[in-house]
Parts: sequence; C-alpha cells; structure tokens
Amino acid sequence: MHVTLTHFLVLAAALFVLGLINLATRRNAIGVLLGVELILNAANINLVAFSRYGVGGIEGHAFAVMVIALAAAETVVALAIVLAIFHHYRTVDVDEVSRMKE
Amino acid sequence: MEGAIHAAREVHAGYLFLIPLFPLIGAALNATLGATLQKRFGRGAVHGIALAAVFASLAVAARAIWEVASQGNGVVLTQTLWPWIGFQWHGLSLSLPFAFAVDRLTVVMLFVVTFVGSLIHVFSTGYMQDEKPYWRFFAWMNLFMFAMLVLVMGDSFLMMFVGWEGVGLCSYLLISYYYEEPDKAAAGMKAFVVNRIGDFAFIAGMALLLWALVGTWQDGRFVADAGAQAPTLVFREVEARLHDDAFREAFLAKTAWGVPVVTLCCILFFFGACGKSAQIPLYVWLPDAMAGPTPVSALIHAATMVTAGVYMVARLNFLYVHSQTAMTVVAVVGALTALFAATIGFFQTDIKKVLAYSTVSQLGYMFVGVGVGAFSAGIFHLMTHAFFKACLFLGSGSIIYALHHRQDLKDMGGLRRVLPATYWTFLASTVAIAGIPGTSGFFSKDEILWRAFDNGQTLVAGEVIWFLGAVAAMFTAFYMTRLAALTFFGTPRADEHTLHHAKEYKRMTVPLWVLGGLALVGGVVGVPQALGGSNRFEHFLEPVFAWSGERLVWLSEEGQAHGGGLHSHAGEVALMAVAVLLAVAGILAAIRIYRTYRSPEDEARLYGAGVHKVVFNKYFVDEGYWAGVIRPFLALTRAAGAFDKRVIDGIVNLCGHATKVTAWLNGGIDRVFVDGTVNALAAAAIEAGQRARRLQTGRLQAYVTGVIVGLSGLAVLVYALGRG
Repeated sequence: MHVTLTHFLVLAAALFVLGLINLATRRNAIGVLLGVELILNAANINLVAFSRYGVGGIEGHAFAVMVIALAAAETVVALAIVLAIFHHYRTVDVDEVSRMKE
Repeated sequence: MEGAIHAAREVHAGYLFLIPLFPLIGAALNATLGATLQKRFGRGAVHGIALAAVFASLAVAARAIWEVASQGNGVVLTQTLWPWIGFQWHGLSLSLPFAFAVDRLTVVMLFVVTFVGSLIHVFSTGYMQDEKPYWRFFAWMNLFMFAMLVLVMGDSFLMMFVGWEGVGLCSYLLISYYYEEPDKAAAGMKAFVVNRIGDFAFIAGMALLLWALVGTWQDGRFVADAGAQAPTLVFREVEARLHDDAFREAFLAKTAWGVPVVTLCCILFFFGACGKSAQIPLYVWLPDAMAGPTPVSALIHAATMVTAGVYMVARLNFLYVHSQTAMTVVAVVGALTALFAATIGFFQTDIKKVLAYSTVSQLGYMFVGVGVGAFSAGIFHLMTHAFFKACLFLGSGSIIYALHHRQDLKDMGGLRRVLPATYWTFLASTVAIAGIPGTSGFFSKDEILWRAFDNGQTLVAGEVIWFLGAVAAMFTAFYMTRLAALTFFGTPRADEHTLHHAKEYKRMTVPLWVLGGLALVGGVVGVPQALGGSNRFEHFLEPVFAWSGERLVWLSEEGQAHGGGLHSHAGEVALMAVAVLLAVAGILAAIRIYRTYRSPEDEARLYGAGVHKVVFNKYFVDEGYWAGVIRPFLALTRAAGAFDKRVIDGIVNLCGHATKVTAWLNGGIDRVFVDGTVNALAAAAIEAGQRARRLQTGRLQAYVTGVIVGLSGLAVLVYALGRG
C-alpha cells in the first residue's frame, strides 16, 4: 500500500481530535497538558507531511523542529505552574483551581 | 475803577516749586531709608537730611520773600507746574492748574513756616535724641512742612485744600507719634475726626462758591448765567471777577435757602477754619493734641498749622468783606473763644495744656482781627504769636526733657537756676503774650483790640468785642504769670537727682534765644502810627488787602453801621493804656497769689470749689460732647447696625432662603429625572455585567468546550460559505 498525504492528514486529524477530547475532558492539569502536546504533535505531522508532499524544501521541517522546541519550553513552564498550584492548593484538579474568575 | 489800581502784576518765578519740594524729598528719604540710615549711620544722618531739606527750603523761600518785598506794589510770583483738573459741566469747562502763587500775604506765611519751622527742627534734634523711631519723627515733620507750604503757596481753593488735608494728616501722624499708648493714639484720632468735620464745611463752601460764580439753582436745576465765564477756583481770578461791578452785583444778589450765597460760603469756610484753627465749637481736639512730642506742639499746634484758618480768612478777604454777617460771626466766635479758652487756662496743671488753651485763646484774637476787617493786624498777630508761642512751647519742651518727661506743674518750681536759658526766653515770651508795652505781642494784640473797638462793620457793637478781648488779655496775663511762677520760681519740687542731671543742650537753647528775642523785638515792624511808628507791616500787606479795605469803608458808610467813635490816635492810645493796665493787673494778681506753690486743692479752696471744679474740668465741654454728640451718634450707629442686622440682613437672608428653596426644587428635578436616566443606564450596565460574568466560570473544560464548539461552528461556516 502506497502511503499518501491523505494518510498523514487523517492521522494528524485523529491525533488532533484525541488531543482536543483529552483537553476537554481531563480534570487533571497534567492530563490537560498531555492533550496540548497531542494537538501540537498533530500540527507537526501536518507541517512535515505538507513539506514532504506539497511544497518541498525544508521549511516545514524547520517549523516542526521549532514547534517541538516551543512545546518543550511551554511544558517546562506549564509544569512549573502546575507544581506551584499543587504546592498552594494541594491538588492539580483544574476545576478546584478557579480563583482567577473572581 | 479800583480794579485798575490793584491789578496784581504777575511775575513768573520758576523756582517756587523748590520750596515745598525740598521737604517732600526729605520726607520721602527719611520715610523710606530712615530706619536703615539710623541703624547704620546713627541719628545724625536722619536729622542731617531733615535739616538740609528745611534749610534749603528756607533759602529758596528767602529768595521769593526778597523778590516780592523788593519789588513794587502788588507783585505776585507765580509758577504753573501742570494742568491738573479739567472737566465739562453744563457747557462750562473748569480747568485748574497745579500752580503756586506768592504774594505779600504768602510771603509772611512763608517766612513764619520756613523760619520757625527750621528752628523747631533744630530744637527737635536735641529734644528727640533719645527716641527710637527718630526717623519717623523727622519724616513726618518734613512732610508737614511740605503740606503747609502747599497750603500757603497754593493759588486756588483746591490747592489750598490739598495742603489743608496734608497738614491734617501730618498732625494726626505726629500727635499719634507714641502710638503704642492708647490714649495718645486716641488723641490723634480725635484731632483727625474733629478736623474732618471742619473740612467737610470747607468742601461744601468750595462747591457752593464754584457754582455760585457761574450760575444759580432754580427749582433744583442748575442754570448757567447768561454770558458766564468759565468757572474758576483760583483766588486771583475770583477776586478779579469781584472787582467787576456788574458781576459783583449779580453775585451778591444770589441766594440759597434764602441766605445770600456769599454769607453761606464765608460761614462754611469759617467753619472749616474753626476745625483747623481750634475755635468754638471745634476747639476740643487741640488740648488733646498735646499728646504729641513737644516740638510738634510748637510747630503744628501753635506756630503754623492752627493758624491756617486765620490765613484762609485773610486770603479770602475779598469774599468776607461782602458779608457783614459772616464777618460778625468770625469776630464774635473769635472773641468768645479768646475769653473762654483763657479762663480754662487758669487751673490746668499740665504745662502743655495751659499753653494749648492759650493757643486757642490767641487764635481767637487773630479771628477777631480778620473778622473786624483788620486783616493785616490778624496776620501780624499770627506772626508774633508764632514767635512767642513757639518759644513757650519749646521752653516747655526743654523743661519736660530736663524732668524726664514729667509735665505736671507739681513736679516743677524753682527751675530758673537749673535751666537759665529756658527761663529767660520763657519769661520774654510770657511778657510778650501778656502784652507788656514794647514787646511784639503788645503791638499786635492792641492793634487788633483797637481795630475791633473802632470797627463799623460787625453787627455786634465793636465795643462789646473789644471788651471780650480786653478781659481775655487780662486773663492771659494772669494764667501766663501763674504758669511762669509755678515753673521757674519758688522752691524746686523735683527730686535732687533729676535737678542735678538736668541740663540744656545748645541745639535746644539756640532756637529758644532766637525765638525769645523775636518775641521781644519782633513787633517793631508793626509799631502803630499812634505811637510814632509807621506800621510798616500793614503797609507791606496793603496791596493784598487794599481793595477789601476800600470795600469795607464803602459798605459801612452805605449800611450806616454803628461806626466806632474814636477815629483818633488819642483814642487808640487810651485804649492801649486800658489794655496795659488790665494786663499789669493780671500779672500782679497772679504774682500775689502764686508767690508760693498752690496745688489744685489750694486753688479749689482759694477760688471756691464749685468754680474750680467747673473750670478745671474745662466746663465739662468734652463730657457734653460725649453725652450730646458722640453718644447719640454711637446710638445712631448702633440703631443703624441693628437695622442692618434685622431688616437688611433679614431681606438678604430671605433672598438666601428663597434661593435655597429654588435650588432644592431644582435639585429634586435633577435627582429624579437627570440622575434617574444616568443611574438607569449605569444599572443596566451593571446588570449586563453581572450576567456576562456567569460566563466566566473558571472551569478550563468549559472554555475548551467553548473553543471547540466555536471552531466547529467556524469550520461549518467556512465550509458553507466556500460552497456558496
């Protein structure tokens, strides 16, 4: 079976939807972050796939590498915040941590 | 007619303005820099400026005097500085220049003011040497010289009035020199207020004269005379117009409230003079004015300012001679004041108070002189009085200074050995004021008495006026001898220490000698023909008063007034002899009684307690004024205040309340409608906010769900639009 762009796009879409569902349903802050990672990687697959089958060149790869780096940085910061929240509230349930609405 | 002979020859003299300018500069310098100068360079710098100013003024005045005296009859030096006042009214235009005029009458006043003024300035450098605000004293003294010189040199009623007010101000400032002491400050205020009453009459007289010269009031409307000239307030122009027969007839026929305008004017001016020259009923301020430093009393309240009223009446001779009534009022008020004030002098215990009442009395003589038409005699007495009264006051100053500012007679006595120069000069002046033959006061006073006796103008018999004056002369001799006896003779009543340290400074004795000398011999310029003299003084002033003199003679012949009988030198000499006898009697009586010291208690026993009490308390005139004038006035002010508080304030408060009610209503509308709208909008916004707030739950999942739903919706929309 020949692997085409469509296969990649379907994979990326599935991954994106999984991430989105994860994001919307998980109460655990770390789970939410996992969802975000899934979404970012879905985007990366799209970038690389379009680069490989579409325009050519390495811009898509470069963007993907950039997104990975950004994701790493974001994860670091987010985890630091989660840790801080845990310290403060003794929980990482995002529904409990809702003081910013006030 | 007469006008042709007496037409004054006007000569321009460009230096006249310097005479008042020098003292003005001196006053300005000392008033602004005096305190600094005194602190840095000592008192010498302060009185250096002041003395330089008055002596410079004296020097320039000497030139003016020489120029007027050396030239022929009727020369008038004039200088116009700038146009001053100009306005149009009923088609008549008044324009007055700021101008000076010096005629022979002014010359006499210039001499008295600058010469006596300079001497008193010199004396002050000794008398005031311990005073802290030394500069203030000399600044005001110089300012006074300036104002007085403007008064005598001004060529119009208004210029005179400027000086008139200026001397009043300086008098107030100098009486209140020790303003830390409430009673002295009050004395200054009293002088000022009483003078203002007179000044008001002056202004009224000026206004009345101004319109009477050019028109009449008919049914409350001003009607200009047909062919009226421009109105004027310049002395010479007013006089020149009166020289014109037709104009004079018309002017003298004018009446106001049924009284001839000229009489009304003259009486108003005289009332002004009463204020300044301390005559009944406005004399009460002068004795209180003794609160000021003694040189001030000598300069302002004896020699110069208080004689301004006499000068004014003499200056307005051309008006007064046309009103027999006004002349009579002047002479009678003068004679009554002369007698009345002399009696108060009897029992005063304050040396300066005695001299103050003596001044009031002597001013009365001067008014008798000008009131009976003997203008030059009045001015002559003004001059001799300036000599001997200034000397007496400076002598009292020398005593007060030696006794450390004690001025009650009970602390004096036996001072003739301690203060010899003061003693001799005081004695000379006492002899002069008592009218001992040969002294200056003798010639001037007897000239007045004789002319009063002989006059045919006054409505009251001349003999009556003469009698009042002669009795006053006897009283004068009596109280002055009493004063000299209680001061210089007998055993000293001051303590040893004071007497031991008492001394006379040269700066104080030199003016005393000069003035004392003049008090003795100054009368030689006016020796009457009856005594073999030629009365040079009267001849000197003749150009000023000649026309009035002729008018007087003419009027008295026409009116058939009771002409005095003794038109002879023998009569004059006889009257003199009577006056001298009375004076000697007064002196002898006083010597007899006051051979030993008499305290007020002794005097009360001697003269009867009732008499003494009334006279000692100055006939309770001050109390009378208090009960009759001041208290009703205060009651009136209180009533006015109450009216203001109840009625006026009531109206004002009512307006306030009305405004408040209106504002309340207005505010209600504002609150209900305008604020209602605004608040409704705000409430709506709040409500919307409250509702929108619920959307922000803080639940992450809810937001994410929102994002997914939104994105899905967007995707559907894009798809649909892309299809469309």
